[in-house]
Amino acid sequence: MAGPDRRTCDGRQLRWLFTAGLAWLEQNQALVDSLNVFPVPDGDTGKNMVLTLRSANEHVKSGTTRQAGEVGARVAHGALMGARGNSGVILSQLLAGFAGSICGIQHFDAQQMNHAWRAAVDRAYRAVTEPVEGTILTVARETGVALAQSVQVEGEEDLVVLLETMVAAAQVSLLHTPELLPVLRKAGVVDSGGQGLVCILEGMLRMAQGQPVLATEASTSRDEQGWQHALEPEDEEGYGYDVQFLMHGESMDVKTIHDGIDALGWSTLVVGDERLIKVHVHVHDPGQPISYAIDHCGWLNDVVVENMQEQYLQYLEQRMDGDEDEEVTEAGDVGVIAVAAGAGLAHLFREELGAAQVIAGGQSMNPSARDFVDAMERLPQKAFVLLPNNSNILLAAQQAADLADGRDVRVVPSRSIPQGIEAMLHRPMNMQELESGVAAMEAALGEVVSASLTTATRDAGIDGLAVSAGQYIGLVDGCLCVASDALEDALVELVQKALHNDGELVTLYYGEQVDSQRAEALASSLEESLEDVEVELVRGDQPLYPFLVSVE
Amino acid sequence: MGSQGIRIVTDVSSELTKETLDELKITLIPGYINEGDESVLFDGHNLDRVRFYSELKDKDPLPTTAAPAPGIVQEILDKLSEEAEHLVLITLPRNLSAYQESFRLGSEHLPEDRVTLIDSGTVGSSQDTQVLAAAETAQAGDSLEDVLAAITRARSNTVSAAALSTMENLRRSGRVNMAQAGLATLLQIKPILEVVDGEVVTHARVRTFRKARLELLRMLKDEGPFERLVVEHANNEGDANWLAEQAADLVTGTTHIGLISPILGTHLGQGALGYTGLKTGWRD
Repeated sequence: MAGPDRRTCDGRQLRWLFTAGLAWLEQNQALVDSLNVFPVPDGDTGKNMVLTLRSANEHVKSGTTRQAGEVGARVAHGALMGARGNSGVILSQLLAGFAGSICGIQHFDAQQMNHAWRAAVDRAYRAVTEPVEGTILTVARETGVALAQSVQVEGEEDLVVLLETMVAAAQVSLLHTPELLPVLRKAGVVDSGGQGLVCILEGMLRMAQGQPVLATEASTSRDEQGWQHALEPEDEEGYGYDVQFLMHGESMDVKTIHDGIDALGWSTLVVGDERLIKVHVHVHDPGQPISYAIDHCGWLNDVVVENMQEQYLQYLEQRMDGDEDEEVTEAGDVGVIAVAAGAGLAHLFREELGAAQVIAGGQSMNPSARDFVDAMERLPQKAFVLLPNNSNILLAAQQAADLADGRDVRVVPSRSIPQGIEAMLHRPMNMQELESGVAAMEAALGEVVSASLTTATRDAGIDGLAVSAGQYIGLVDGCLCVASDALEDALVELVQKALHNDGELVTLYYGEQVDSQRAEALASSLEESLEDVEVELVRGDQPLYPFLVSVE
Repeated sequence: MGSQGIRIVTDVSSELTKETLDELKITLIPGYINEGDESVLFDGHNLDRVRFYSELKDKDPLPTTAAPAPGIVQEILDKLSEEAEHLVLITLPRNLSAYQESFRLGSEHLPEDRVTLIDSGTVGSSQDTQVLAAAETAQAGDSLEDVLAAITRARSNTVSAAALSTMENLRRSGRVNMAQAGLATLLQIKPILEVVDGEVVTHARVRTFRKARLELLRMLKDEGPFERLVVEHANNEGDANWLAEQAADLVTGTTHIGLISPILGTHLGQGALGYTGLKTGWRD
């Protein structure tokens, strides 16, 4: 950028930089969009920031002025007119603050750029009613801190070097956004608006350094590979170590020490005076800067070494596990303890429907009252609803309720898994009041017809039906009504028996003996055979029962 | 303050008709609907709502929405403030959209005593009851205090809810924490949602839309009678007509059936059905 000495930037150069920032953001729009707090594919932060900048670009691309102040003003006006989304609006405020500061200036230098950036950050913070840290605001502010240090303390005048410093500071700040904003940490992402700002600055730096900013193979693949790739360290040796310490001495030379430290690593900040210097540097060998410092001062203290590569790997792991780490929703102060067998059903009750605890059990493995009491003792809640989900477990649950000293416990007498699921769905979202919640859950039990399909363990004649060992048998609300040698026939007949007049939704929970392809084939042929009835298939993994069925 | 001079401004989540807007001199500020590379500045009327919803279910990615740029708000308010002494801006809650910020940034150049910005705490036709109450009071020549009091009364006497036929749009909108809302499940659920003080709250989770419809009716019966009932839908006219018919006895004034603004509908999904009721006697 800038004049031959790279110490000033005029309007034409500012326009180029701005265009490069936009182009690089466009290249990386998909990446910014993907950084959504919730694991959804339709984030729009990148798009909103691109649209905001495009509007700004419309206002400068035709101009011929070489006055930096005027280019800034046009960019700011265009952004203000085209801003959309929270990040777009904040971006427009950053641009407005910057432009206001360089108003009337032909070409700006390092000092003026530093002032303008500070004005930009001030304006953006003022624009937001309740500024939140860990967002684009933080990235802009911390970038400004690094810029100010470099300009004011180190006396740096080269604008390209300053831009490098800003990009490095912005990248570090971005990586720290999850520490400041719990919602990001939980989702395992960095802030999307902050990422957008980093992209804009990177684009500007690329332009200043003569690197391409338009689509290249490398940048396209970065888009496709998404966030993992974007976060990969550029250095083959990884992110290295973050080293910080204080140097104490007499007549130390800040500039010499800065250059000495900087030669050992990157993202260098060396500030202070002849008696006290603060050093911050990223290196692969943390011993080097410490040894260097010891040789150049009296003594060191506040030495902090952090392994950034490890932090990066932990972050990656956390992000990969993001979906599984999601906190279980807990309904107010009332904990639900449900009985279910099979990983699929346990997941459904606990992770999806918000049970505090799932006790493994069912028809062939009835948990005891003790099991319920143990579960309650392990949980922090003082009030509980027990869902036995099987008629053979009702009594144990009731007994547990009687045994639970000092706790408020109710049993919702669910006799089947489908009834238990229905009760969970009708539980009030914020269930702090036990009685009304239990009433709603109990009322829900009658909303479904429950059926189940298993195999006969012996020959028998029950409910007027002759059954031979090994045959598939089906029960509707506890009554045996189907016997067949073929699984598919048994399932179809069972569902037909369970369907009442206004039944419109059949849910099949398939057990551990049925693989998912078989289950899908059975579900779709069942749906074809039934008119105006929807069939839904859910993985249950329950033992012994190829299918549990609910009809409503 | 001179009463003639109060004008009401709102956003395009509104479902008010052009006639009503003109009659009560209500100004809509447009907002963006983004689709692919296109960004449409939606003014409340320049999109065929029926077509929007019939195409919505096949769209991937879904259209997204964005608040208007502060500059756009500023331009509109500048014009309005030439004719009016005071502007009352009523728009979407801060938690759900950037409209509040845009309206604030677009109005902060006006003197404080000439503009009042209100966070409606709700959306769409439920917000409309506040807009209507404000506009009617302003047109009757009452003071700013009276206008603001009317808004508060309308707000506390308005009930609304919507049942979704799919959770896909809500999930992909990224505006609701599905786990907190109790909706992070693979089970087919037709959630019934309310917006309470700017937060989306799950009122109920039922498994079929027929049950959802019945639950909406039950809620209406609990809350009625209504001076004004709006039944709104995203291409689900059959269920909307059914609900309006079933609730006819609960209405002492007027019933309107209409299509939900695409600004909201893209997040709710095709097939959604909802209502807004302004309780009879709300003025007292």
